[in-house]
Amino acid sequence: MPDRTELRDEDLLRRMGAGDEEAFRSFYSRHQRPIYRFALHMTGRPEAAEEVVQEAFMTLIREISKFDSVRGTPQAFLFGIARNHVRRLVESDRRFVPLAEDDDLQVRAGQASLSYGLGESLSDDMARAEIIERVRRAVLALPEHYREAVTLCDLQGFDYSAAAATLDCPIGTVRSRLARAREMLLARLRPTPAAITRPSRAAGSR
Amino acid sequence: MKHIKMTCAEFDTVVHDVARPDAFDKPAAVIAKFHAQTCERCAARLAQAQLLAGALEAVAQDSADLGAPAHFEPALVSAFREHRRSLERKQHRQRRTRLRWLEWSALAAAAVLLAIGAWNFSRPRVIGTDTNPSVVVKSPVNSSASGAVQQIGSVETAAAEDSNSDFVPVPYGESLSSDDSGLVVRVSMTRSALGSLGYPVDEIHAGDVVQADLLVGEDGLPRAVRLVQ
Repeated sequence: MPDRTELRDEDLLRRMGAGDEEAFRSFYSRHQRPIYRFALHMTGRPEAAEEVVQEAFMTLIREISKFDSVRGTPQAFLFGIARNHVRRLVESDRRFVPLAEDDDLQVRAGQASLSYGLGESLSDDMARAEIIERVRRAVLALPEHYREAVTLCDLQGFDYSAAAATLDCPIGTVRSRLARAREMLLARLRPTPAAITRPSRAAGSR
Repeated sequence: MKHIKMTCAEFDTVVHDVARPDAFDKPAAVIAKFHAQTCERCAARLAQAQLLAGALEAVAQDSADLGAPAHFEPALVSAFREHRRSLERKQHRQRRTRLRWLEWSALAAAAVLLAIGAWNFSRPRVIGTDTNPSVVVKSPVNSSASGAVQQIGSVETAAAEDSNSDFVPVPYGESLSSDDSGLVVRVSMTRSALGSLGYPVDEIHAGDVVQADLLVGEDGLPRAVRLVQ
């Protein structure tokens, strides 16, 4: 009996369709974290990410027969399901994580700004945590299409082809959305000249 | 060496990919970086893109271990198991319904066939082009010997002595029962039809119309046939 951890996703799905419980466990174990992270980056809320994981796998259980290997990979199929749930959540919540435009944050950003020694800042735990939080909020503030592209390609490690299959759009569309998203992030994260000239505050103060 | 030039506009389209070499093919990245070395504006753009790529990588690493709570797995496995059981129950119900439908269809088809058969064999048969009605003679038949016709009664329109051939039992026929008086039915039919009743015929004259006597039981089924000559 082949080790199920070595089976391809397509084989696991086929076995799941035949009622193989262990195949389901293996598939869940392999894909629940990426789904969770995708939902977390898209919604910004851990409870929403948990809900998406649960709903995505429940939908998979019910609709496993709808998977068509010609149309895409099992991963793209599952992410497509998760994406639909994320969209419903975002639509119902209509939450917006505002990018702090206040001067304090701008000044702190000036200390750990992208324009000034980010490499050194990332090695500093406190500054690193601030940068990570700031970038995360900037991603959440992106329009949904761009947020999806950045989340899949920059935060989940998808290549253009896999992202295009998940988003059900051409590769060129993924590339253009990603380029635009990165420019928007740069614009949001770059400190204003006014902020740079203010006296800096102690790192970590909020 | 041939220099491949890149414009700043072209550089802008690839700057973010160049900042992440793993996502871009190497020769194009080399050309872009070479351009950045000669263009201050593009060098600054590349630096910005690299910083952003590093920051996004940091976010990705920070969330690398995040996942759903541990108790999700047993709950979902339970849901998977229950869904499979409900599917099996549904398939079992569908199979039973199909079998029941097949049974009723088979019964109905058998009833229809029986009715057709009974109606078909109960009709008196007139075969051939003879417009005169066949003569039906009700004559007692001595059926003491099983399968053998020993005495034929006289025929109204044709003398029994005209029939100089013996009755030939039909291949699928049963003998007359002792309480079955039997009927002799004179018909016109082609020789080929006579052959279908088990009577030996000459293939050359298969189309000829002849007269034949059919020994028919009370159930209407022919038991034997003889040629009227």
